[in-house]
Amino acid sequence: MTGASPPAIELTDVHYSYPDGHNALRGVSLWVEAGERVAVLGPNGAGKSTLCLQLNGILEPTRGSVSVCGIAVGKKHLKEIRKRVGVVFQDPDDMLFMPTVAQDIAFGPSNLGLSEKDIHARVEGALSAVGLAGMGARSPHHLSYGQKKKAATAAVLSMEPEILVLDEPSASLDPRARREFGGILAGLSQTIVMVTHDLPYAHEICERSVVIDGGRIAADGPTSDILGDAGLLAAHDLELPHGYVMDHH
Amino acid sequence: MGSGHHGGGVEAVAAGDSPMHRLDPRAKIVGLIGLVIVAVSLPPGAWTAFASILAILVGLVIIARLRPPYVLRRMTIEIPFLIAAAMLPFTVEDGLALGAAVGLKVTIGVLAMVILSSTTPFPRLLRGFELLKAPRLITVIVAFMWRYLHVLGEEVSRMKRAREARGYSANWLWQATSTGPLIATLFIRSLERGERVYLAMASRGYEGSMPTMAAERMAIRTRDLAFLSTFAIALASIRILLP
Repeated sequence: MTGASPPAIELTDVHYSYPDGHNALRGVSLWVEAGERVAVLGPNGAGKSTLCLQLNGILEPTRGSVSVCGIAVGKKHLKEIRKRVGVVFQDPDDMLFMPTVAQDIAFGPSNLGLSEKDIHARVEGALSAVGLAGMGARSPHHLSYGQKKKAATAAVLSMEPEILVLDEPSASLDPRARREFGGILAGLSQTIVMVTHDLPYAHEICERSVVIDGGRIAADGPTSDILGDAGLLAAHDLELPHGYVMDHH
Repeated sequence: MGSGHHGGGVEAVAAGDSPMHRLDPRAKIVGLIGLVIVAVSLPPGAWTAFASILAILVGLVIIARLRPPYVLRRMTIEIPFLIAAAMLPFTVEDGLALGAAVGLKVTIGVLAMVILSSTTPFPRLLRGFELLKAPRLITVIVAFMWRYLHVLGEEVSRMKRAREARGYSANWLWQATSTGPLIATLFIRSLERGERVYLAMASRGYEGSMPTMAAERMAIRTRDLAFLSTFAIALASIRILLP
């Protein structure tokens, strides 16, 4: 592999069981190139969120290995990994814990040990990247849900990660916030891994999709192929909205 | 319960503008806490001193453009203390003077804190305490409490609404029996949220020490020094000359 840059994400036969014995992942192998956008699709309880938490070392595989940008995910490189992999959780209230939005966005960069001046620049940069410029002094509870989602994303972008992992990015967003947020994601240069069961959203943002069911990968390919395969979708409890027509971009 | 997140009142007022609002939080914290300490140290009988301190606070209320009904509503929190003070005349010797002094001290303390919290947005207040070297553990706990009180408040009103939507009527006896489970549910949800918040923090490189609440610069200006020195002189003269 000399010369070529390492893949952004490499999962090799990853198994994971929760302490209560539930086997959430049963041998997942996945290879994501830098700059790719991959949607992880699957019914509830398929192991999607568990997979997300493997990517930045919050959970460690019981068997198999995960590596990010060529670095093995594990206790030893946790700091390095978390700098490279930003996770946007489903509920923005879980992510916005500081008194103001700006302080929250500064949390990650402060943990990276940046200077005050750099932190300030990153906060401003992240705020404008998500269209919240000038709203840094607000308290999270004064934001709409859509704005909270953007603020939570800014809080991750301020760490300048190479990989962005999003858990159900469109959940609970109204149509306008959903569209705006999709636009923001589409404009990012990061490698994106996005867990969702909003299939049109996956189609809009990600060129590649992976279907996961029962803790295993059931399909992996171009999003339009996967969403066009009615039999595959039905087999894994995935459904396009009634009347949705696939257009191929 | 339930109206917690409507604290909007104090937040909206604190976001206003007046010479009092514009002071550095540190100047207000030091000045008003100093005032409370002086008030607490006054002996019963130092009525002129108590009156002067109250006059200063009323002056600040006016400068801060706080509306009297708002201030009185905020001050209802002291009612239990006033009731306790009102018992003193019946229970101890010289109780009348003692009760009056306790009542005045409580009123001064509460009014001072109402002024402080109504002229300083909460994040700035926290930052002020932090810059004054208040213990980090305390400021961080208070910051989280303040943030998640709002989230919890919303959760409570959602749960209450859900309860009402299923035909629940707020008869007080019933209220009592179904509030227990509501609190229990809320406790479990908070616990789970706490876990998720921790995961989100760890994901952003948290390793056990909170960064300062930076992101906003504060500078002591001439007006802050003027405020503090006026305050110091007034309080010192009240404490030394009046009792």
